[in-house]
Amino acid sequence: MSLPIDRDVRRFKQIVKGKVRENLKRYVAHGEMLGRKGKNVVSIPVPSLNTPRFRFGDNGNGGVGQGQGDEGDAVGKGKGQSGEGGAGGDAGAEHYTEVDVPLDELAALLGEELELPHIEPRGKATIEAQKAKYNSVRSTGPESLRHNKRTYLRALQREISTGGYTPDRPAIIPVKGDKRYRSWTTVDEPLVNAAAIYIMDVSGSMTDAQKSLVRNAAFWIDTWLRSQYTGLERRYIIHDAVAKEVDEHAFYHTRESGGTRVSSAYRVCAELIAQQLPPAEWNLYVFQFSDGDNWGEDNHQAFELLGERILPHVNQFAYGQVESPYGSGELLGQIEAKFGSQHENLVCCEIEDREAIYAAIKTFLGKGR
Amino acid sequence: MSGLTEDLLSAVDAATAGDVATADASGDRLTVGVARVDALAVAFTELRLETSRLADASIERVRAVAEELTRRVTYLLEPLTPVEIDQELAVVQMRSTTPQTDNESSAYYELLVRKGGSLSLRRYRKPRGAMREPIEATVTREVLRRLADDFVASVS
Repeated sequence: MSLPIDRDVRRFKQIVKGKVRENLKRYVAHGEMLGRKGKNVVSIPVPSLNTPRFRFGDNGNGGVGQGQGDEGDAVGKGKGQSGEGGAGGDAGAEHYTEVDVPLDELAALLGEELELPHIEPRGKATIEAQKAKYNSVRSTGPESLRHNKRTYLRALQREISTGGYTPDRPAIIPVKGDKRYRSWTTVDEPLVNAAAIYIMDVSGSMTDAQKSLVRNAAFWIDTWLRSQYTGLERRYIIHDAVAKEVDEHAFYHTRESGGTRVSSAYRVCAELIAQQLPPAEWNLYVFQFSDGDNWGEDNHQAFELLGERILPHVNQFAYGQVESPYGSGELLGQIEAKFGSQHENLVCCEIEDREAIYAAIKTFLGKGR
Repeated sequence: MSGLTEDLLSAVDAATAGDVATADASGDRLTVGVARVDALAVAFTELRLETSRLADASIERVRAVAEELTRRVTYLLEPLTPVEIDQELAVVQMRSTTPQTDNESSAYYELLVRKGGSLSLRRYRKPRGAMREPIEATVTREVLRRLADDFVASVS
């Protein structure tokens, strides 16, 4: 039987879910979710949750009293007179409540709202790995797996059934036959490996505002991919004229001033795939973000690497071009012209501002690859 | 004011729209892509200095030239600062710190300092949601003279 508090918790969760769904587009566009992220939950500011409650009305229009009444009798409170009120508080002072939403739930909401198809892994979807599940108890086993509670219960049963148990001195000493051990059964689980490689241009022309766009987009993409693959492997590459693999923190917080050579990032990415993430065993997703301001001489080398060593090996290569205040980003058009018709796994889109992140995520993840 | 600058302004005076006005002296060559000229102002597509003095320049030398230009060239519509520095090619890309913007577009200067060596100043316009396009930079004759002088002085 469920307790009233359980019902309340369920109801509260439903209300929160509704609020998050209602404001999802705003969170995608403006939320700095990464800063609010725990291990498996994200803290989201939800507009104040007002519990519905009864309010007393004026109970009809008349005053209080019964009968005809006489002249001079006091009457109850009538309607208030209209007139000028005092100054109100600050306009629009909406209150927010921070609620923890599991990342899985957030991904599900994103999937529903953007109508994202579930990803169909390629290659090894049919290969299964055996996994041990500890779900039974046996009378033999190693001491390290001894089930103390079951052992104690067994000893207690024995003591009681043999009349050895005395409530005044309730000492229970298990003997060898009382001991119980945890045991496992082997289950087959589908083995699917997936890795997401994020590439970001951190050259001097990428401003903090542009990197913030990338940060937001990457958070939502990552949330969705993690909901689709257990244990998603994530790698981060930053580049200006030189590229290097970095950790997640450095990916989001590094700013360089060098020139832009996209080929350097493609080279690191190609080496990463060849040496650590063989395409035969991994579902690979590459997400590249740049302002597209590549130094002209570099395009030939970059496209050679992209066309020969990356595109043929990945489930999807997504290129998001954030708009540069200088408008010098020509890479998007050049990538589309060079590879657009030949590679179905190439997805490109322009992220002009924060509002465009929502559409970009749908473009990137809408193919279900 | 150097003789090279005077020669350049004379060449600009003699030029018509679409010409490239040129002046040479002791390993330095100044060129201006002339769009329009009148008594007060010059509209140009590119102001360029090619110099032998940066032929084997290191990236530090190229960077020093860029910094010198940042210090000197403070009289254009927007100040210029280095945005990207390519160590490998020894090129410094300088742009307007804050592009001039209106509701429909933004405009900015771009100055490239290259090992080898050349200094090239252009102005670009970027309409909203479209690629940038080179546009004419319009300056008074005095400003053009000063720019040419500062280009030469920064590599000296």
